[in-house]
Amino acid sequence: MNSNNFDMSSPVNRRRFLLTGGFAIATTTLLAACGKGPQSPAGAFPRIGEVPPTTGLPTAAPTDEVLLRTATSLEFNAIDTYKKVLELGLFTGSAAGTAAVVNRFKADHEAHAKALSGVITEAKGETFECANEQINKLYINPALDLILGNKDAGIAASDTPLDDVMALALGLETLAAETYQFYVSLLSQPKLRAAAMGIGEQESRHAAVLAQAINPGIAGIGPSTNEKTGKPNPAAVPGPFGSLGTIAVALGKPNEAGNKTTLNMETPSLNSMAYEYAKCS
Amino acid sequence: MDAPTTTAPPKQPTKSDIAVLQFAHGIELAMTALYAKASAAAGKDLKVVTDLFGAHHLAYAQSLAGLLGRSAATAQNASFYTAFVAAAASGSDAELAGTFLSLENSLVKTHLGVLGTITGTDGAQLVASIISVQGRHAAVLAGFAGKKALGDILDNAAEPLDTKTYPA
Repeated sequence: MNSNNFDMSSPVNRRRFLLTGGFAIATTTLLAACGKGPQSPAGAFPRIGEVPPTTGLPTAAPTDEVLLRTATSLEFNAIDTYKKVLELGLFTGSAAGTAAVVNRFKADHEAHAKALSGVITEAKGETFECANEQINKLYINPALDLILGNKDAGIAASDTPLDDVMALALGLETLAAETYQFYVSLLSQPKLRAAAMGIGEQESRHAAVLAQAINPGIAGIGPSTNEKTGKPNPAAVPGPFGSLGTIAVALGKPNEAGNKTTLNMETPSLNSMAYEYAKCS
Repeated sequence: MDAPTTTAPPKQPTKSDIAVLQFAHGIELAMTALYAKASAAAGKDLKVVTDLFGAHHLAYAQSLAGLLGRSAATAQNASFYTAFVAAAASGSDAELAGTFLSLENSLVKTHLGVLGTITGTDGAQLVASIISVQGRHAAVLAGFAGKKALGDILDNAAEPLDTKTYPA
């Protein structure tokens, strides 16, 4: 007998019983799974329960037309967001002048969308004149929830809606600028790259104006860090080259630690493009 | 829209790209030198800006040199530098900022022209990342130049620089 009072030399003991029993159960399960029962038709993986049939999306490539349609959709995201923001009635008192800036930016985005649609039409493509649903779903709707609150989702409204609206606008303008810059590497024709970047450069100017409005003066021109949060401050010129990195936007009511929720935005990639089969609803 | 091409654009600058990028390189070298002149003439706040933006233009010149390798321009664009050195080295802060606002706007248009000409994607990506920031430079300089209207900050009616006016 060993210290546990089990006789290891015996042909049947508890450990051996468990090992043998476990192996038998595993083998039975495996054989059952491999069997040609009604739940495992030939050629399919065995599964338990019913799985609803799925329809795959059509195969599509990020062609020049798709890239320009996607860029147009982003312009409509900006237009719609600025419209909503203007309706909030936040731009009063000392912020009254900001309404003129927002109106000008909205008009610029309308002009950009029109210009892009013109390029697409000229090349006999099909325009896409509505907002990008994926961008709304991922970034803009959550951002507006954080600013305005959403009772159903248990999100409290921001204490500083005007500051948050400005931060969101800076995020969106930076996102647009980055998108055009990124798409230069994907567009096949030089003239389309120049047309895209001509718009992207204007989005960059928008971002610089907003950064100066949020963080004014000489300290807000170059890159700097917020000593409290350790995060970068908004800067009119954050670096020597246009970034393609993630855009962090802090919004909403601060939590117990005093931090706002950070929303990370990225340029529309393959799962967010306005492919030829996508239609405006 | 036109049927998508099945041939991917080249990554490296082509022969015809090189001549265009050489011009841009010479201009960026000259801009670095012009900002150095302005830094000596500028007031405290504008000096911070001219030093920062001058360093950016040096980074552009270095990146273009890296892209072009042995084909890089060997000197700044002398005719461009000569045309603007007096304005870049004297005047009030508002006048200096106005000069560089106009130059940055011209460079944005010049690089957009470069982007519309070159076929290599490495060069296109680099030039696009430069354009994006030069637009920001212009927006900041407009403030120092005393331009308050949004149109003066956001609109760019400048003409691109060309090799006929500013031969390397």
